[in-house]
Amino acid sequence: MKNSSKTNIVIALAGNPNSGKTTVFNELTGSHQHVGNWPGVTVEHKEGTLRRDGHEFRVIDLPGIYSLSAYSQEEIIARDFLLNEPIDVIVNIVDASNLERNLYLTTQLLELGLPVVVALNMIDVAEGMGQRLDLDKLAGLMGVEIVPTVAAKGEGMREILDTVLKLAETGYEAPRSTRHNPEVEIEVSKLLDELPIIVNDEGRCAGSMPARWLVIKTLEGDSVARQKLAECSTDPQDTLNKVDETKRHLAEGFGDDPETVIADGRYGFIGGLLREVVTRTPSVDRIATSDRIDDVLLHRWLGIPIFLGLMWLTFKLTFDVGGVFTEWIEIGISAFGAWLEALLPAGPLSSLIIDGVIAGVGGVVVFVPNIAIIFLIISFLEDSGYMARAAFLMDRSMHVIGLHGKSFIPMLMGFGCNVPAVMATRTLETREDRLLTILINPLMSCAARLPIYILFTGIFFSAHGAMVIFSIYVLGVLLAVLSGKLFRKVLFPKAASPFVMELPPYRMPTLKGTLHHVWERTWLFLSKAGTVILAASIVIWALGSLPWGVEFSSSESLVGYLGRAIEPVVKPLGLDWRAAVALLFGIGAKEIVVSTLGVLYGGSHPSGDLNTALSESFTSLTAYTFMVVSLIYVPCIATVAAIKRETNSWKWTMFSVGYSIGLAYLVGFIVYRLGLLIGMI
Amino acid sequence: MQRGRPFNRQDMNLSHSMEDYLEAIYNIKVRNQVARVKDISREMNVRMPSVTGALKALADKGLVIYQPYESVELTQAGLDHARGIAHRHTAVREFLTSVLGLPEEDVEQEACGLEHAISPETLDRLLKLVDFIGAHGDDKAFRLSDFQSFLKDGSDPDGDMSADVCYLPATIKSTRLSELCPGMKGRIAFVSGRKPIRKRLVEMGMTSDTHFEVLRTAPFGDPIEIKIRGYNLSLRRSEAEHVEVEVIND
Ligand SMILES: Nc1nc2c(ncn2[C@@H]2O[C@H](COP(=O)(O)OP(=O)(O)O)[C@@H](O)[C@H]2O)c(=O)[nH]1
Repeated sequence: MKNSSKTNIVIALAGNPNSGKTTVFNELTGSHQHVGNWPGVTVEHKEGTLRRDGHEFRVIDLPGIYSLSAYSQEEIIARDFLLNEPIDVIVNIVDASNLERNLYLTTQLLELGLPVVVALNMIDVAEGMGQRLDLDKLAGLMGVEIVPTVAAKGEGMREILDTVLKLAETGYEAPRSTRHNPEVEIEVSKLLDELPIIVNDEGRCAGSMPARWLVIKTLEGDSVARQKLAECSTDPQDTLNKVDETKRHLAEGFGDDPETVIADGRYGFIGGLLREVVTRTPSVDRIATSDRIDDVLLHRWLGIPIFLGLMWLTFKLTFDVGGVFTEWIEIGISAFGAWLEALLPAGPLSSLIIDGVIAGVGGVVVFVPNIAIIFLIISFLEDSGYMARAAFLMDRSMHVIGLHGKSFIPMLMGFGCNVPAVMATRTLETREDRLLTILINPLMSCAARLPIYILFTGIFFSAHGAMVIFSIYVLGVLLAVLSGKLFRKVLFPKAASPFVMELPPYRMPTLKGTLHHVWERTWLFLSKAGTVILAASIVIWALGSLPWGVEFSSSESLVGYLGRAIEPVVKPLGLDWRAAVALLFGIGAKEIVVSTLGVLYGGSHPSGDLNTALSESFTSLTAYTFMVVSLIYVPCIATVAAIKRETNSWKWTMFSVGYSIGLAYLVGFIVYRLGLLIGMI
Repeated sequence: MQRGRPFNRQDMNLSHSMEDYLEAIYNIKVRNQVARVKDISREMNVRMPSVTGALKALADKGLVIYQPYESVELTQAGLDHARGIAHRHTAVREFLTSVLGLPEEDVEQEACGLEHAISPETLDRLLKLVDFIGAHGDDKAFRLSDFQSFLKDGSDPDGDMSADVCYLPATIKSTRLSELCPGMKGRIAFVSGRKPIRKRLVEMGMTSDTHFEVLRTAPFGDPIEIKIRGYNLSLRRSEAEHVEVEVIND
């Protein structure tokens, strides 16, 4: 792979979680990013491109990992990518203020035989801690290029690219590999000499994996590496026997299993390096400040109340502040509608645009402020380091339903949107935990369902709006807890996975990073409004207008027929056919519920005003029932698709859909009947 | 609260000498991570063949895993048992020296004998007495009735032994990470237990001889947070149980 001049250079970003990888990625690629279908924090691998000096760089952001040992899904993804894809340079983001543990991954990356550039990030933090580093010496000892960076300020990005270019252009020397324990080194060399494996002059096995890495990983008990090693051998049985013999021999010699010995050795190697290159001058410890903050935020008695308070504040901000902007947008949209109405000649086109498109899409766009705010807060909590604390605080409670504290983060994200939330379950380490978290996630009321609640509470519960909406959210959480307990008992009767998690020091998120995040999410929402929802609005409009000549969405229209066909089903819940149609269409996307209501009720009411129309057709009880059903039944096509992708099983996907419909019906029925019993109307 | 639990003698009929072997293996492992036959023979001042014989007997009871020429591993049951014996030993010695005021050099032999002879219940109270005395400051003044009511319901109006405060008897020098209280410091001795968890813990930096400090426990007492290798790591008690540590007093 020694190539001379390349125009296309592939860079893989690898690093520990919280090392600043996302920040580096954003700094490098700016807006030229291709985020997989749906981003879940750093789980999906994102790609970006940039051009410089006539070169085109493709940058791949790998999931944040601690090791290459195939322990979690993320490690497997990152590792498979590093091993199987044609990568020119690995850029390893290392948190300079947490060198010891960050370099553990580096020691493994060095063994892959690819050129590595270490981006020593957070140099500012490290210096603030009074830590001085001899970078030249470190680079020399590790045999890699080192670039100091402060990603949060965009410093060092240019140098990363320069170094990458240098390596890619001039060819490179494979980095010096980590030196293990002398005894281990001897055994590894012996194996490399003796094993009947086919190795090219770069030390790579068939399938291009470095033989040394395969041998070391096999000694570490890695089953994938073991298989690959066998595959590249002329006599697999003999190879494996020899490796096993060495393993036994090492175990005897050290009195401990080789994987622990090797891990020990890596840390030993790092310790040696750091003694050579780090000098510390005592000064204010940033981490100590972080610990002081935790004394309060993770306090025995105050921790959880503060957390719940923060969640409450999140909701307050989302709804109250968001509401102000929403009003402005509403005014703008209706002015725009009126302007168009005056402009266009009356007829099908005008009807399509005003009753269909503007009523539908407009009804969804008004919620952009809410969504932007909720993601603003979520990404602030994420980047500041508080999310990990939330997992720490909530682990015990989550454990009650057999879940991991880390499940709390996807659950919380579910309040924003279930799609990234379902994808974020990749941070969970076992399939059972993931499935369980995925199955109950749709019960976390996503931001797209919020418009429905806001619409109805605005009309029926204006005095206690926030309380009523909060009760819906609480109901969702309650049902999630109960379902979780049920599923854990019936479907996954195995203990939850281990909880071994870093609590990164608190950091002030950068405005740029946070806004980037918010923009990403909001854009996804908006583009949904532009495509799925636009299409759905037109379909609904057509169903409401056909056959030609009927009064718009009256019971003679197609939609009327459809609605009346399913009306008997929703009747026991006190809902009419239009509500049923709205729910049905809402499977496309929850935002469509409101736009359908807009078309079906607003479009057909003499005043044309949705609020008036709804206040005539619903009672506060049926409104509440409708909200409850909207909360629970099938989240949306996008979530279902995400569930399919993440579970990789139609069986579970269908189970999720069936369960949510059944549960929605059951709970809706109970709420409505109980309401009638206690005399609500 | 794990009060008293480490001291309970399990329902297993072990001869004194077998208990001594277990204790020795535990102590060696805490110190060196690895226990070999020759280490045990040196520690206990017995000949290697006797050690081998004892190990076979312990292996039959499912307390150790031992294959010729390999180092000795404790099973989970063996580890728990061995830790209990070690705790009794240090506690009895502490009682003899710091309460009864016997000279250090003389008590070792006696402690070895006593630790087997005393019933777990008696021993437990002895230990509490040692700690109760320690918790009452320099003048060590308290009424016997205070101690008796402390034994009854754990209340201690004067000292800092009240029931809801995390409590690890000062006599305990090495135990599981899960038993440590916030503010305590220690050294990782070794990580036992299931493979995947063990691997993850080691990879996160919990290798032998690494120093750490327990920072806090989460509101419901679980998980716990420690500082290790310059960063903060949280883990559940059930995972911390796999980590054998040596307490370091500073
Ligand atoms: N002080 C400082 N903060 C940084 C630097 N790089 C990133 N950060 C901050 O560290 C936090 C985590 O960064 P992020 O890129 O999300 O980490 P990731 O988990 O590795 O993707 C964010 O709040 C960033 O603003 C840096 O060089 N210096």
